[in-house]
Amino acid sequence: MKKRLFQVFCVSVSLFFSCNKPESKLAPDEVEGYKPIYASRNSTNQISQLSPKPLKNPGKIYVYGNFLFVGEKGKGVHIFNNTNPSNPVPLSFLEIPANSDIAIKNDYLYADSAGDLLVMNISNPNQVTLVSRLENVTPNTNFQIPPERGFFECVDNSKGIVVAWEKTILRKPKCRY
Amino acid sequence: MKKIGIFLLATLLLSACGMQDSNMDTMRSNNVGQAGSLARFAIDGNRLYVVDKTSLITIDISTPNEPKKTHQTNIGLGIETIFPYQNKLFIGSEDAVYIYDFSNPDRPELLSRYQHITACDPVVAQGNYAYVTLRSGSGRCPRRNINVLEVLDISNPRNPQVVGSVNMLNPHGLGVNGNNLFVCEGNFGLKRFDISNPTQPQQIEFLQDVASFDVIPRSQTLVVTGKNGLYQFDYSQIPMQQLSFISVQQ
Repeated sequence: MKKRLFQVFCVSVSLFFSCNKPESKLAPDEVEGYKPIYASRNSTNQISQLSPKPLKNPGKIYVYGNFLFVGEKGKGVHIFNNTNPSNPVPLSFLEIPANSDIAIKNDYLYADSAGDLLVMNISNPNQVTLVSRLENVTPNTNFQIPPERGFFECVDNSKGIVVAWEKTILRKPKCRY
Repeated sequence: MKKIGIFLLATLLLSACGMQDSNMDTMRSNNVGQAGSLARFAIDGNRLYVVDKTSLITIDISTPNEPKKTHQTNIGLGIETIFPYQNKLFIGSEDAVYIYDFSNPDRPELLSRYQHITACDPVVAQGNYAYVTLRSGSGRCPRRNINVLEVLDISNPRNPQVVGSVNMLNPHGLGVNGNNLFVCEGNFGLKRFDISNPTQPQQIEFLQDVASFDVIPRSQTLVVTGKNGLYQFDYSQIPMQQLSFISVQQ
């Protein structure tokens, strides 16, 4: 019975890892796929509030009181004054490296950034301040794999933190899912 | 004596006003925002719940300056979304919907796991029902020909049952408010269903030119994001009226 369980375990483990394992036999010489964009941990420590930016790739949304937050995946959030939904007024763009989600309670905004959790005071939405950072809370984020299935350039953690993925032509990629 | 009576009455009235004020302060101090269905963050009380690709993480935020991770539990693979509703967390993954009870906030307890065919699936809940969209064949989602909206009866959260389903084109985020259910159909548009009979959603609108990714239905207005930009609608009438649109710029 134990041996059987061990076999099942091995098969499941190999199935699980096969998704990301090198498949050199199958890898074509050239194929369209994604390559990771890295940033050093130092540069991901920066958050800054910029003047409003145009929407490029609006994703997740969050409503807090009269304010509306629209995520720009991997880059940060647009903040709107939405007192009048017929005329949302862009206030600023909050630049948060490798961000995918936010949530807000009592004027504190919680955001992920390259695996860390950031807490910001937004009681003055024109002057957002970083109040704390909890490191390495969610290391296993979506940024470890590209946004679409297929071949991709394997992640090399020694190069830094993956903050985005870029579609390009890959030569003999070793990873796919 | 009469004067004392008036004084007491006045004091009572004043303190009643004071109470009202402090109640309002409490309301304000428990002011949590509303997320779309594709969120990986959920706040309830003094806890922030986060899902990453494999686990559920609990963070104590009673002191915002000092957030503390209090718990982490492995859920499974391909975890995608989290939706808090009435002391429960509804978690969508690539092959299942998980329901957790968080009566003990630092020890969320798994109540059930409803397994479905492998597909991408945000989940939302209202009353005794949860609504799940299953999508396949684009982005990260497995390439299978399954695109459907499912209705789960969650009156017994330990044993959710499928009680309804509607074929869809390419469903993404969804949102529910009262008798209205909104489902994003990706590049195909935005659908509105009447769910006065919760198990049999009736399609009442299909806005084919509103490419949509996620929605938040507020009491009367609907916020929508999609590849073309950010829309807001007044849905107190049929058809819903567009209030504003901010276009993307490349």
